[in-house]
Amino acid sequence: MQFIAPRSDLNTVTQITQRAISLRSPLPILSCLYFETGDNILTVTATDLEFGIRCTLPVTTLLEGSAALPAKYVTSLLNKLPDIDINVCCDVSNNNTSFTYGDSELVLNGYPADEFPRFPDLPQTPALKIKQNVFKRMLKRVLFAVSNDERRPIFTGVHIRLNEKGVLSMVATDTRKLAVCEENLEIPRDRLINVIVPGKALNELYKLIDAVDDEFDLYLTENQIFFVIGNTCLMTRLIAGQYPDYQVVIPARYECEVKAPLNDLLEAAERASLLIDTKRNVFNISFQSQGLMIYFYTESGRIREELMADFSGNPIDVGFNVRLFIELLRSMDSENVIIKLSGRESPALFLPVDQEGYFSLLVPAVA
Amino acid sequence: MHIIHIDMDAFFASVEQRDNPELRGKPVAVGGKPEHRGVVAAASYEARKFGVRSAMPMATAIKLCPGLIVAPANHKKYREVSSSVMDIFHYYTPLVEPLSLDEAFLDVAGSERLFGSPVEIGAEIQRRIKNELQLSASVGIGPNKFIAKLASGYKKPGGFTVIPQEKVLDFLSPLPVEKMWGIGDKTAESLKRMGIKTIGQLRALPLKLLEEKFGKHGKLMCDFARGEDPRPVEPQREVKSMGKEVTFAGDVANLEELRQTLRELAEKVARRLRRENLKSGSVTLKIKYPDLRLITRTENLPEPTNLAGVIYRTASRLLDKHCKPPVRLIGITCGKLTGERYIALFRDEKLVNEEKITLALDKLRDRYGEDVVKVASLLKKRYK
Repeated sequence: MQFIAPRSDLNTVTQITQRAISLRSPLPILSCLYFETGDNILTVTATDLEFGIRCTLPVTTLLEGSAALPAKYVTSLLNKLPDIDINVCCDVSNNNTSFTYGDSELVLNGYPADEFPRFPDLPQTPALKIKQNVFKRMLKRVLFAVSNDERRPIFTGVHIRLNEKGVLSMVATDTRKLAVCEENLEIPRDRLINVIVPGKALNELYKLIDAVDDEFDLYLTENQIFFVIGNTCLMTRLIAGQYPDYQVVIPARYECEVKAPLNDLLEAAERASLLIDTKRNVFNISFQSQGLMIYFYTESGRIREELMADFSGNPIDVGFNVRLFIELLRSMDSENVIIKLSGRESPALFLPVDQEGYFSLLVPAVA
Repeated sequence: MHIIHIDMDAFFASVEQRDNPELRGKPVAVGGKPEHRGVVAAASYEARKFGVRSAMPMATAIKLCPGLIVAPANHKKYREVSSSVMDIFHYYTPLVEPLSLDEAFLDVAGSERLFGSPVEIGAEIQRRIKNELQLSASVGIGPNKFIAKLASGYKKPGGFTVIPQEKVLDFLSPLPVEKMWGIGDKTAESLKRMGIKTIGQLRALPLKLLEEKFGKHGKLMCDFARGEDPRPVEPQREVKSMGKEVTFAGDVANLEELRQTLRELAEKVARRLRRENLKSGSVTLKIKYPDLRLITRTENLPEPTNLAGVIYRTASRLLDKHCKPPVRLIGITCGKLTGERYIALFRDEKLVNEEKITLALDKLRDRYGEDVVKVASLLKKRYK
């Protein structure tokens, strides 16, 4: 394999692909970036078959072929090389790859390229084309609720569905908080979607897509999903299993309801969070006719915050985990939030005002 | 002068001697058999004359005291007797802080009008333990916990020592520093190097010097040396962790056997958690290797539990990850205890089922005893 490409282009694609490198890979070959040159196209791939990123880049191909190089070295190397055209050449006899820049040369020891796992093939047609900004906004609203406890794998993913009416929905929960976001794509679909996508991969996707109107493609196979954004393809296996129906945990009746300025509430909660210690991380919010009162004490101190809010229903005093409360509010981008309480031990509903199609649940903490 | 410390004399051994007339007047050690690497849990005063002490390997004890009678420990019985003893204490004051099965602090300030002075109460308790339970206890009375405990240990068995406030300093002065609460071998050693052997000498040292040398601990030492102890008698001390461990008769290298032992320990710890209405947020595996090297490895739980299955699976995972057999001792400790109820939107069905089963089994155990039902892996094999 031999090709010539500008340092900055090479740097960009390796920086993106190396995000799919897992830090604790059992096989050294999986900690490599795979370089392959075709007809004046370079493909850079990182994958452990569970999750992977592949980027393409136009280059001047001198010799078709491939190379597998430790991601750690090749990414930091490209970061440091001078900003000129680099001549990259792999010696298949010993898997060493030389990077020639000007009169200088650096050689990296690599691994046999043919041992690198094959990046799975994309299906013929995309299952969905969607605007990047729409998808990104939806992700922001649900990703905070994804669990990272591998012992219940289903909850480490986001349940993504597209129904026959063309409504795309995302649901995430770690069983203490739950977020639901729906977007009507307004074109009826005959290709339905019902998958659980690992949150880890979606976090990477979130960084890859921009808040722009441009569309990107989503491809599906039986057990994999591909997101294709321009010259970048992100692949992940799907999580197998049945995602529970979130409808059953939404309270049927509420005790009371308040409407409060989201930012004021968030800032008050953030001030309270300064006092969190190892013993206490649950604060109380008193929902009453005059508004909200937050109070919290720990060994470090105490805080009481009074907030004006529109109130209706029966007054109630509820405890919430401060950190979860803050995370949830941060995922919302409306000016005001409506909080509906169903009791001291049953979920509270958080509804952004003037923003259709998304809400969150948070379970109170009971001492 | 209203704090009483009561310490049962050679508790386990005395209970055995009481219930078993052949043992009376003879050197008795309660604990595991020497061939199983047992240790002495308690030694009768006859055995102590030969140098037998608790926590000593039984084999050593027998060498020191040929003719020593080794009695197996019967913890169920000791717990029952202990609760009778505690009942007597509670008759005089609600402020009883048990330190273990056989000793407790009592704060009797406020009990004077009903039962008389602390000295009268202490004497009556000692008499009642003798008459009602045929057991001997040593009583110490002082102005605080530190002094009361020193007093009860001043003369044993059957001692009755009163140290009023004005005698505190005279009482403390000649005592060796090791007698002081919180001074172990290491601190005592470094004090000795400074030429300090008695509490009186320690008291003469400036606070600044002690703080420089021992940090925070220095302040405590300074207070204690002056006979001051602000700690109140706390009836319910917060339990921070709950654990169980076993020392094997021979080193165990078989992972299957280790796992089975963990299962047994997990069942016991979980049952205790449920009895106390607590849940545990972390599981610690403790391993002691044949060379006495001790390791502990902890895993946090996604939600607090009191289920044996969860505790066992976590401990077993830690075992696979960290244990390099053979092993001399293995134990499980449940930490991050909480009475807080954990509410979840989607409970793990498996856990919900396990909870239901556990609840049903607990009812059986409460009624027919601990051994009426157990997981199949803990059955003693009858057929080969």
